[in-house]
Amino acid sequence: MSSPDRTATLLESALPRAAITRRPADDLLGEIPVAAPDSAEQWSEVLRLAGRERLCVLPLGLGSKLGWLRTPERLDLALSSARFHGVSAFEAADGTITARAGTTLAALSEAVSATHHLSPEIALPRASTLGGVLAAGTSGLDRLRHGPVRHQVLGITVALADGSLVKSGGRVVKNVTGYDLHRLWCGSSGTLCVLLETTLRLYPRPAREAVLEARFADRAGALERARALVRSAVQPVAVVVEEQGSEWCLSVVLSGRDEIVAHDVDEMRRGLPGSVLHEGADAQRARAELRDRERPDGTWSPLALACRPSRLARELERLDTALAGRGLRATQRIQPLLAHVDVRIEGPRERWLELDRELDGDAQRRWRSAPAELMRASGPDGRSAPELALQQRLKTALDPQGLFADGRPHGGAR
Amino acid sequence: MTKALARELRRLLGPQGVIDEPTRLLPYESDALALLAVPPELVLLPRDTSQTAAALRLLARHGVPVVPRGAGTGLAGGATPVAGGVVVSTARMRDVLELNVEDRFARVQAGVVNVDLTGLCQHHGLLYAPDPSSQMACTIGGNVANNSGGPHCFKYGATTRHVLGLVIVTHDGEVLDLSEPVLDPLGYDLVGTFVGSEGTLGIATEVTVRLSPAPAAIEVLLALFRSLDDACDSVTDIIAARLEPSALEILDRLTIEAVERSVFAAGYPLDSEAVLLVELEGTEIDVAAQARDVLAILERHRPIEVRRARDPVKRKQLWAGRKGAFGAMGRIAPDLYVADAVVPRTKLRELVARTVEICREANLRLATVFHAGDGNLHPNICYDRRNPEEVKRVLEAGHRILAECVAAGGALTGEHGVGLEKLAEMELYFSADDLAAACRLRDAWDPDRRMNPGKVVPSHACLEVRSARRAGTGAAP
Repeated sequence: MSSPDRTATLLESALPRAAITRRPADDLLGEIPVAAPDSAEQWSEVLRLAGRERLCVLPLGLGSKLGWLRTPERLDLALSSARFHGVSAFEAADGTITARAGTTLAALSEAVSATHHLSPEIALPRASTLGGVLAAGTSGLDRLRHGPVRHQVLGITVALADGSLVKSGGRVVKNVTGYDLHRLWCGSSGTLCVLLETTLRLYPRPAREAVLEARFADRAGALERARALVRSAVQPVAVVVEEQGSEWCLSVVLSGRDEIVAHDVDEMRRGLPGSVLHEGADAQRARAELRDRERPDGTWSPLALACRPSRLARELERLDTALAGRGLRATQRIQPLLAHVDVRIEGPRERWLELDRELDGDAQRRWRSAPAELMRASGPDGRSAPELALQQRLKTALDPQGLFADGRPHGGAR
Repeated sequence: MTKALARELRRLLGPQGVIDEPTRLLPYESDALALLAVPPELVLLPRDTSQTAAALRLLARHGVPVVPRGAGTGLAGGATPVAGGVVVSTARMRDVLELNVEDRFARVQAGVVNVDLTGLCQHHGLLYAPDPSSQMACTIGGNVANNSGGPHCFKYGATTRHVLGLVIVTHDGEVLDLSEPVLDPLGYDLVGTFVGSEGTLGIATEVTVRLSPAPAAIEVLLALFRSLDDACDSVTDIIAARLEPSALEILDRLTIEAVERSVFAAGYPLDSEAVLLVELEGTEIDVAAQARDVLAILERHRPIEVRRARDPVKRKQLWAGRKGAFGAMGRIAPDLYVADAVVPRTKLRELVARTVEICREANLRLATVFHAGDGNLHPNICYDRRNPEEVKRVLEAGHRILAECVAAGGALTGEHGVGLEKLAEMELYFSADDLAAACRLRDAWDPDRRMNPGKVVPSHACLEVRSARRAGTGAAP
C-alpha cells in the first residue's frame, strides 16, 4: 500500500494541484488522497499512473452509496467525478441525452424538463450523480412505468484499468452493434471501470400529473388496494405503501395525457374513498416528497428485499416474525407491484446478523449501510459455483491487476 | 470430425439428436443470409439443457467449435457453420415450462417459436412484446441471441428488456442457472450481458420472459403519401411531438408494388410513393386522444388517404402488406439483401434519400421497409446471387450505406446483429480499444473461443489482446 503522502505526490505528475484533495478518514475508509480529473485524457492518465504504481483505487460520485460497499481490503486512492460533469448533448427531437458521470440527476432532469422526463427518478437527486447511480444500479420511483435504470442506458464510455477509453452501445434508441458491455458496467459498483459518459433515453414530459394518498389502519388493507390496481386498466407511474406511525399510507402517482390522468383519477377515487388528491404543482411537490422519503434523513434503508409479487405477503410475514423474534422493529416502505421492500431497522445492530439468517427465504436480500460484520457475511446468496466463477473471470479479464478496489457488496467471488 | 465422436454424440442425444446425412445437412448450410453458406459436418439437436450440456462437455474435450442455431432466420450469418465445427440447433427444445399469470412471466425452452408464445399469452390477457418480422418461425432463444426487435419494439423495447432470466450452457458444458426472475441481478449482470451476444458466449437453453398486459384498445392508421419524404417527415414530427405510438412503419414504392402483386395484397394504391403505418395502444380514451393528435400531424403532410381500423380483422388487413413485405419481394427479384442500420430519428429523411442515391449509383433496385419510429432502416437490395458482379455491387452498396449511417451518428445494426456480415464494418463503429474490451468479455465466458468463432468481433482484434497477454502487458485469465 502506498502512503497517502506518496500517492498525493505521485498524482501531482498527472493532474493539476486543484484536482487533488485529501479525504478524511471515516468509519469505512482511512485517510486517502482524492483525484478529480476533469477530462477523459486526465482519467486515462491517472489510471495509467495507478497501474504503474500498483495503487488500488475506488471510483466515487458524491459518496452517498459508499456504505453499500464492503470495506475494501486495500485502498490507496479515491477517484472522484466531482470535476467531470455537464451535459454533452441533449437531442430533444430524438429523445436522448448524453452527460458526464459527475452530473447530478437534478441537473439532468432540469436540462430536459421543458420537454422530457428523465428516468430514473432518484431520491435526493441533487445528492446523486449519474455515474454513481449507474455504478450502483439504482432504479427510481418511476421504475414501475419505465423499468430499471439499466434499461434507460443507450451507451456508455468508460475508462478501463489500463487507461483505455472504451465505448459500447451508442446514441440511438435501437442498437445491437456488438456486446452490451454497458449492461455489465451498470451495477458493477466501480469494480471494473470508471464510468465517464452515458447516453440515456428520455420519455415525453407528461401533460398532467396527480398523486393520490389513502390511509389504512393496517398493511394488509393497503396492499390489497394496491394489488387491485393490477387488475384495473390504470397504469400508474408508482405505487408505494409506507408505514407512517400507526397508519399505512398508499400513494399512487399518475401521469400522462390530460384525458387519461383525469379518467384514472376518477376511477381510482371511486375505489379509494376519502383519499387525498394532489394535482398541478401540488402533485409535483407530493411526487418529489414521495421520491425523497426513500432517504428520509439522507440515508438509505439498510435492508432491501425483493421477491416475486405472488410471494410478497409470505415474505412480509417472515420479516415480521424474524423482527419480533429478535426484539427489533422496522419501518417498511413497500412497492407492492414490484414486490420490493425497503426495511429501516431500529434496534441493536448486533442482532441484525441473526435477522439475516432468519430471513433466508425466497426473497433476495441486499444489505447496505449495515454493520461491517453483516456486509462481510451477506454473501453469494445461493448462487452456483459456475456463476461465481464466471463473475470472478469477468473481474480478472477486465481488471487483471486488481486496480479497482473490490468492495462488491454482492459480487460473492472474492 | 471423427466417426467415433459422432457415435458418442449419437449415444448421448439419441438417433433423432444427430444429423450427419448430407441431404439432411443442406438446410443448415446458412441462415437467412444465403450468400454465406458453409456445409456443416454435423448438426446436433439436443432435447433439453442436460443433453446440451453433455454434448458441449464432449465437444470441449475434443476442441470442436460450436455454432448455436435457432430457426435459422437470422440475416447476418450468425448461424453460418464453421469448418470443422458442429451446429447445435434448439429446434427440439420446444416446451413451455411455466406460464405464471400472476407474476407475469413465462419460462420456455429456447426453441419455442415466438408467435406460439404470443398466442399462448393472449388467452390470459397478456402479451410477449418482441415481434420480429420472422416471428412465425424464429425462436425465443434466437431472439435472445440477437436481441431481436420488431415493429412493437418502438414502444416496448427490444428483447433485452423482456428477458428476466436464462439457463445457459457454457463452452465447457457447465450449466449457469440464472432463470429465477429477479428485479436486479446480484453481482454483475450476466443475463443482460449475454442477450445479444449472438451465440458467442454460450447457448441459452431456457428463457424466462416478462409478459406485459395486453392493451384494452388498439387502432391502426395507414397513411398513403405521394412522396417518401412526406412519410419520413410525418414520423419525425410524431417523435418531436413526443407522441408514443406502439409502432411506426414505412414501406416505399417498390415494396408497395411487390406487396400488391403478391398474395399479401393489402389494397395499397399503386400511385402512392409510401405507406406509413401507425399503431396506437392503450385505454379507449388514450387511443382516441392519440389518434386525434397523430391525424393532425399526418394531415400537415398531405396524405393521399388515411385508413383507420379498430376491429382486429381490419387491423390485420392493414398490417398484411407490412408483415408480408419480405415474402412479397420474392416476386421482384430472385434474391434480396436485407440491410439493417440505425440513424438518429431526426435524420431519417436525409439518410433514406442517401440509400436511394447509393443504390441508384450502383444500378441496383432498392425496396425499403423500415421501423421508422426507431430510426431502424431496412434497405432491401434486389439481386441475383448467380451474378457475381451484381453480388459485388450489392455488398459494396451495403457497406456504403452502413458507413453513411455511422457517419451520421447512427449504428451498424438495429436488430439483425453483426454475425459474419458486418465484421468488417465493426471497425467503422468501434475503436481498437473498444474491440479489445469486447474480446476480454468474450474470453471470460469462452477462453477457448470455440463458441460461434469468427462472429461479432473481428478475430484480429482479439489476436491483439492475445499478443499483449503473451508480452505480459495485458489480461491473464
